[in-house]
Amino acid sequence: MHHNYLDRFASLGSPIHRLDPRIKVISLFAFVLTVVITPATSFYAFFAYFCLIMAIVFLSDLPLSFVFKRSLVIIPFSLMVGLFNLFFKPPIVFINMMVKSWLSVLAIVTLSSTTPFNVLLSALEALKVPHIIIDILSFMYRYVFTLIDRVMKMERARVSRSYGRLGLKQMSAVGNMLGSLFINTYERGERIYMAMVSRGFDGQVLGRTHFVLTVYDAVFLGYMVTALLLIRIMVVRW
Amino acid sequence: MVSPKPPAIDIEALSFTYPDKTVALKGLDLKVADGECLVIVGPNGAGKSTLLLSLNGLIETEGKITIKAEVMNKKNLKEIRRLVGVVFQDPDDQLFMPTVFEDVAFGPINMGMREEEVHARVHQSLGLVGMDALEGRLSHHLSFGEKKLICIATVLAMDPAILVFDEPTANLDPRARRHLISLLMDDLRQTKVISTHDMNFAAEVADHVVILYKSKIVADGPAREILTDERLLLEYGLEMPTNIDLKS
Repeated sequence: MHHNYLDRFASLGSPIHRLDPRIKVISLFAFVLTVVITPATSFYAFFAYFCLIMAIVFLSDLPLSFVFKRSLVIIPFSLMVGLFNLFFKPPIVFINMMVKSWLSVLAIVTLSSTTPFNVLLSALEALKVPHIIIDILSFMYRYVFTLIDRVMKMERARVSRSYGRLGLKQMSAVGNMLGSLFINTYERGERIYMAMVSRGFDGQVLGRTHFVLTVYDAVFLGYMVTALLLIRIMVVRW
Repeated sequence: MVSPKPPAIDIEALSFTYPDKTVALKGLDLKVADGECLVIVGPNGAGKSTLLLSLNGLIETEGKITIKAEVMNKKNLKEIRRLVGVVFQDPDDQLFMPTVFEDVAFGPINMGMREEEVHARVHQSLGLVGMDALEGRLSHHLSFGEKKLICIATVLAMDPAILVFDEPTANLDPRARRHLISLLMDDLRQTKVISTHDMNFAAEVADHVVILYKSKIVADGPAREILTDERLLLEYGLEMPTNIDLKS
């Protein structure tokens, strides 16, 4: 089975795809940070941030509909927190939360759809994120597909013997599925560990890709920081 | 077959009991000559996989295992694991890095090689199994047959003297199976230890055959002798190969 929806557009060759992934990660953090510290009432500023991220999406050749659809995944979560706030605080707080979270997610979607996951991991490593976190993410990315396959097979086997609908009576079947899935995962973990040890693993996954910064990367970061500062200082004053 | 060289693998009185008291291996003695292909057959649960794991020091066994004149102990495990490359049954266990390149480079990097050397090793071993075009691909996007060949490359990259395969033909389609056989016969000159249920495959590749039954070696001899002895094979729940193309 193939699941390439996770990074379907990650290997296009646009100017944004070609950027050093470290620069992209730093730019993302700068963007999210600036958005978060912008006062809630600066609507022009938020519009300007939106234009900035759209400019990057445009340069990256990503289909707009794809970026918007992806960005919606955050809505249920921020809506839940936001609605809760409506009871205690003025509506501007709610609007502020929705706008900021959505802008941040737009930026994250742009980064993750223009950078293959393994390259992103190497960038995080180069930026001194602890090894253990990178290894966990790396294994998660590698095995989430295997896990999904497993779940789909089990679900198919269940459906083929239980006439379709998942009612209350079948809850015990779901419990058993979860249990066997856990044992499965546990045993696979042991086998993977043996395969690693057998190829000389002794506690640390070593050496991923190295990157070389180019003038182009520096220019992009320069633009990004300048744009953010300009918006933050100029527009907010108005 | 008397070999002038010392055996590549010499096992004496090897026993192993799982923590839950299940006996997996009971007093095994086995010699594998340098350069030969040993095939281990036997029903499920006979201890084949356990025996293969012990060759890499992945389980703590009793008895003595000598690999290339080195007696295995806790101190030389790293060197033993470089000498003995294990290709596990499920490629998803063995390809644990995001990309094919990173997976094949995993062993050489752990051996402390320099970057250019790692690259050279990766190209060479992927080239040998005919998978050099897939270097940058993500492991989860590959077909089962491709994964299997890349597993072999991950082991070859460490330049082992002995190759160990756990049921290599399981789940392979006929074309991939043929490719594997020709690879084993023509390209991989190392000493090989293979466990399998595929009797025809055994008949094609084996020089030496061992039958493992209920944790013990019940037959040990030249491939032709054992694989043509129908009564012996049936007694231990096996079948005679249907291809008569036996190596002598």
